[in-house]
Amino acid sequence: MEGIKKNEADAATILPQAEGWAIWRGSKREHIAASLAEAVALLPSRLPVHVALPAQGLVIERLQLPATQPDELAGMVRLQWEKTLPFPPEDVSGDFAVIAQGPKESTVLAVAASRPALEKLCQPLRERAAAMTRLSPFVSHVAAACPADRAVLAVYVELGQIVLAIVENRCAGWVHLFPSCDAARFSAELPQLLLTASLEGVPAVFAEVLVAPEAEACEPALREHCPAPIAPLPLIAPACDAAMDLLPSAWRLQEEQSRTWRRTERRLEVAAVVYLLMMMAGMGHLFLLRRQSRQVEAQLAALRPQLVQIQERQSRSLALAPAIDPHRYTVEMLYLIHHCLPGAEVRLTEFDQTLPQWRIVGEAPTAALAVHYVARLKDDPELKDCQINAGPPQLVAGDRAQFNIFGRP
Amino acid sequence: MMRSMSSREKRLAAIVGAMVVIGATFLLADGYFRQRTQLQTEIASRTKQLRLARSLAAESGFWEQRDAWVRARQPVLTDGDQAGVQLLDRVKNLAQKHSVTLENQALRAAERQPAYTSVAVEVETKCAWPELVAFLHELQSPEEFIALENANLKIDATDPTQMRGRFKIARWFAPQ
Repeated sequence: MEGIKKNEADAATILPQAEGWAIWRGSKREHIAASLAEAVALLPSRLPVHVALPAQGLVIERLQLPATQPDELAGMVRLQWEKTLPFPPEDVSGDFAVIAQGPKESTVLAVAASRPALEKLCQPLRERAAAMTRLSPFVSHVAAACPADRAVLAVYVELGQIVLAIVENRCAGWVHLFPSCDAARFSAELPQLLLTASLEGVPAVFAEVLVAPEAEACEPALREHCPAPIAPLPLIAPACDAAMDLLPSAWRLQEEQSRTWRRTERRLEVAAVVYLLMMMAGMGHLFLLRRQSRQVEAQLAALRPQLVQIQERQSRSLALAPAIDPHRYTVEMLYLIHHCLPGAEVRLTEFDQTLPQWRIVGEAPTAALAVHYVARLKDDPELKDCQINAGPPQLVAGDRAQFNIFGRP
Repeated sequence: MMRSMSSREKRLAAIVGAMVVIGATFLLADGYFRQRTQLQTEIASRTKQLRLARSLAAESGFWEQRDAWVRARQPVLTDGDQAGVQLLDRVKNLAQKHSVTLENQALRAAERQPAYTSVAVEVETKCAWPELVAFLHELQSPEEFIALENANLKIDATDPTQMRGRFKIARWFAPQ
């Protein structure tokens, strides 16, 4: 229910009432405009609009057709229009409402308009690309305001013209438009019109006669020719159940395409926003990374003078290490390489030391023992700062293995 | 006056637009990922440098003390010839003390290095292994600033119980 109310509030209905074109939002009449163009100008753009068409320009016929199925009836109504209407079938835009139905025949009210006439009438709406959702005859709104289950004669004024409508069970059954608001002419033509209507099979006995306030001048004639009680016709509000719709299918298609395009446009806008956000996030990420990089660089730069000083001291101490560091003393080196000997059978024959490196030459009973000795030197924790290299042991006379080991502190 | 586009033209325009957007997105994404990788590598490398620098800075006190000790204790060279003679005398005394036979003694000219000035003597030794170890052990100590710039030891070919050594023994004075 709330959804319906929301839809009503989100849409507008324009009715051709006595004072001019009335704009309704939901159940509230908001504005009256002299012309449709002025009325449209008062609406927000893209607001869905339901327009009620005045009887002028419409061809309204009561037809008795030998069918009851809606599609059959539609085909017959269309055939009837092709036969009788003075414009090409493709230019006909119309609809019908079933007034009464027998076992084999139906009575319908067919309403048609030529496409050029509709285009001319709705030009202000089309120029503003208004979203027309429905084009219904105003008389169907009037009929919807009448009491149910009885025949009623309604007299009202739309855009300065008197309309005489016979309503059967809230359904317009017969309509006549007077070209002016002249009560005398109405009075003169009324008896003839009622006779014509009864000849067409329209009920001639009415439960009541409803007269709009602006047509009260017609009341004496009505009292004279219609025995039914006269009552005021209430202000006509948009009827949700106005059955007919004369909106040309091409316009509906256009509107559908336009809606689809607007939806696509909205999605593209959302995609563009997401895209821009992603780009901004990427740029932000790069900015943060750059800032982080600069911060680390700044910290490094702050430490650099201290580091230079430390490195100077470190390099001086390291250069003096052979003289001041007992671990680098020759006797210490001799102790370590001697300490790693796997047994008395492995013996050293030469030790040679310079400042950057040392070299030992020795002999072992087997190559395996020589290799084992090299491994022990490399694994010794005291020599862990030494880079030790050795080639493969060479076999010499007596099957002994001679080895050469180099060490760089 | 501009003519409105047909649906085929609109489709074509949409395809071209989409291709342009995809191309631009590819270029932007490529640029982003390249820059991100470069910056992340840069940050990782600099962070590692910073970690090393901090650990080095934490040892600042140690190196400062060591440097102060070196500056306080390193001998200053006043007379190069005299320093060489003094060093040779000390070597001779130690050799005599540990029963090490000295041969072919020679004084070398002072050499200047950035961290020190080296005054050296060259000697050849002949002795048993324990005596040599005792001699070398007493020769070098941190207070003396004596380094063995060259050392060569071999088992004597004629007597396997004896070691033959050839040394370049230097005292490192404060740089001048």
